[in-house]
Amino acid sequence: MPLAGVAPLRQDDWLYGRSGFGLRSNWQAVDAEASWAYSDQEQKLLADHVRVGWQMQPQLRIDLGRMNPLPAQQPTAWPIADLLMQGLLGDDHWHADGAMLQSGTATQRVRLGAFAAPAYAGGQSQDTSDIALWSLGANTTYADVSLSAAVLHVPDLIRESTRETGDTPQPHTHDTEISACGRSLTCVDGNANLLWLGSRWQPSGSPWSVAGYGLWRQERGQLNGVNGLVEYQGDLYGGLLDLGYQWNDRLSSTLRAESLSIQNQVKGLNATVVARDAGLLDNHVTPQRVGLLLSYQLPPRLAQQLTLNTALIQDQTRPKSELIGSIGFVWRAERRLNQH
Amino acid sequence: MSFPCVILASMRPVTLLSLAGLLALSGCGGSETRVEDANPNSTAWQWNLPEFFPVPRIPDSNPMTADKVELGRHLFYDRRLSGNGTQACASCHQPDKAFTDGRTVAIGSTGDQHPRNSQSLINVVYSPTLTWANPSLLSLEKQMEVPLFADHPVEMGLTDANLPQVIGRLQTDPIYAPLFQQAFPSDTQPFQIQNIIAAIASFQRSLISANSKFDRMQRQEVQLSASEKRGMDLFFGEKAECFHCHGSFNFNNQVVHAGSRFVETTFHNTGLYNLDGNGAYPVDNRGLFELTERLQDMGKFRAPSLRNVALTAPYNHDGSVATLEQVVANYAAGGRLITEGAFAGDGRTNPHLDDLIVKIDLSKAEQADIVNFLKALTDDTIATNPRFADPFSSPTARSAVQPRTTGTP
Repeated sequence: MPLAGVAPLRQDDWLYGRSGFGLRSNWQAVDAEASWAYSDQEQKLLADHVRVGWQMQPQLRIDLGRMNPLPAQQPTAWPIADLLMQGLLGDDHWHADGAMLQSGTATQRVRLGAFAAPAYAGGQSQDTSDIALWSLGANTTYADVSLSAAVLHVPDLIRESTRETGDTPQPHTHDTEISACGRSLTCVDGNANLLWLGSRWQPSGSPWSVAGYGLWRQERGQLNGVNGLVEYQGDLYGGLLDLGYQWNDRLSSTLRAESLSIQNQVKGLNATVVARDAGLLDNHVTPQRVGLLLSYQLPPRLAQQLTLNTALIQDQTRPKSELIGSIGFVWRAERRLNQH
Repeated sequence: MSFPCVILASMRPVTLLSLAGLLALSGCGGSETRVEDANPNSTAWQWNLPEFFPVPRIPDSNPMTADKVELGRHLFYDRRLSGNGTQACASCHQPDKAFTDGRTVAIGSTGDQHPRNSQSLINVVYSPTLTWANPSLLSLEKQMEVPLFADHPVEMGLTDANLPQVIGRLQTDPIYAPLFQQAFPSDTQPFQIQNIIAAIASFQRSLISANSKFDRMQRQEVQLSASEKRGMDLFFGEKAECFHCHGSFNFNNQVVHAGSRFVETTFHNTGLYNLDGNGAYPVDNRGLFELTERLQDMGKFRAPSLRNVALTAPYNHDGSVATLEQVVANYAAGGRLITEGAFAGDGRTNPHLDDLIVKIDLSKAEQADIVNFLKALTDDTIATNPRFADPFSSPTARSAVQPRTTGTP
């Protein structure tokens, strides 16, 4: 899906983020988790999440390692990446190395995180010794409604922008390092703020549930391209709405509607040329999707779970509106290693 | 239709409260990119650049003005500017040939044969280095001293001795007095060689071409033919990879403009010769080596712009390749094999061959497609553009850009 200014990193990766294996262990107040996933693009196993947590006090906990830095509830994963993550990251897989401090109860919790590079997928810190991303999130639950919000700040962002995706082939480069920014790549160089809101409403005893998520990514800085250095402002807005219905213990369905818009402003000498190099000129697509997910969980056997997902998705970002069908399998095997 | 908004409207109030804030962000507005280009124009000069061309870099010492450009146009086409009064700049840079001369190598005003093929002046304002293989000629003003004053070979044939006579010829033509006066209003004696050079350089910088079929295709005014499209895909694709040396908006890899911060001036050995099996090129035509005397610079020349390349035959630095078809065939072969004669040798095995020059498995049809795409880079309006035309050829051309009679813009 061509999105102006979004550089998909794992566009062709079929397995990464959709497969993996992991271990989890608890030991008194400390627990640890590690998982790996195979990247068919890089043709190797990559460490996905590697985390150690310490419950310092009943309402105070710290996690260290590689984890998702977004301290708020996120949409249920579908067989294909949702538009929010795709617009934000270029894929659906976000992890960063750092620390997350949590305080509160299960119904009211505040999280504060500090993470090193990359700030977010597609972005890199200029100096990896710097803190690349600060995050602050909170969630609360009132009766049947849970709300969460998070703000993230990336003080020093460099990320590659997309290249022209129109009919005219453009000279390309195999460079991917940020040192090539301004030489053979056009990059966003500045800072970023992210606001994330999440809400879920599930009345007790009702088969219905509703969840909604909103995203606003604000980037401010410069476009650093081969043809110049110009002022840049980028705002990415996204929304996702899930309407769920639990038919019985095993069968559920979710109707999902998604929308995304990207608004950019470029100013300066050679602004048109640089914006074109950055893939920002052809920005008339406001992606919208609607999908229906049917999820069936097979009866448990030997502590294993097998879930069948079938999604029908109408994606308006395609040249012609079409229905996309996909089937995803989720297989979980859990075994307690430390029984108390 | 923006369906998240429709769904939102149909939900219960409590849900609305919890979700309204989220979906207000959700893209009910459309995507757009707003661009504000800094205005490159001044009261003295309007560039009229296409949107995909960057703003040229102009030396502070010689700012663009319409009056200077107009004076430069006259001087560019004036044969009286040569020592013996027989040759103008335009003798080797003719507009109907995209400001080349169609000869294998250039011939000077006294009959001297230049070792190299005349280069196009189209879009020369974007060239950081000038001539075929000289990384030290960085301005048109400095470069122009070579054709004006060089004695080996003689081109225009100016010398310190005949310069007063040449300037005197110009002073006797009544058209020049107002042209010089308007171009250099602060000079009490504007008939000076420095002003002549500055005016011609300004005219050369005004020679911008961006109206080829390829350009019109980018503006969505026309479509390329199937063959041209296939050629374009090969040109920009991983197979032929022509774009590595001819990939900018100007179809070359040496580009400078007002937004440039990293200007790379690369030169390439494309395997045209291999006289001794050790990579030698013919004497007087050994490229960058002639300046640096470093063996690895043997046969290295600048990659020229391919804009209007169909008009600039013959090709390569010495004009030794007659047709575009032969040029493409040489690149497909990974160099040129000369089987007999003084220059016999296998350029494909030249030890100084550029890494980018390798055998490419291109069929004859694919080579023809690339040639057809290259022909689509031709701007047919160059020869008829009155701003570029010889003012001495006709009254129409003479009045194309009339000099003002008084004042400044």
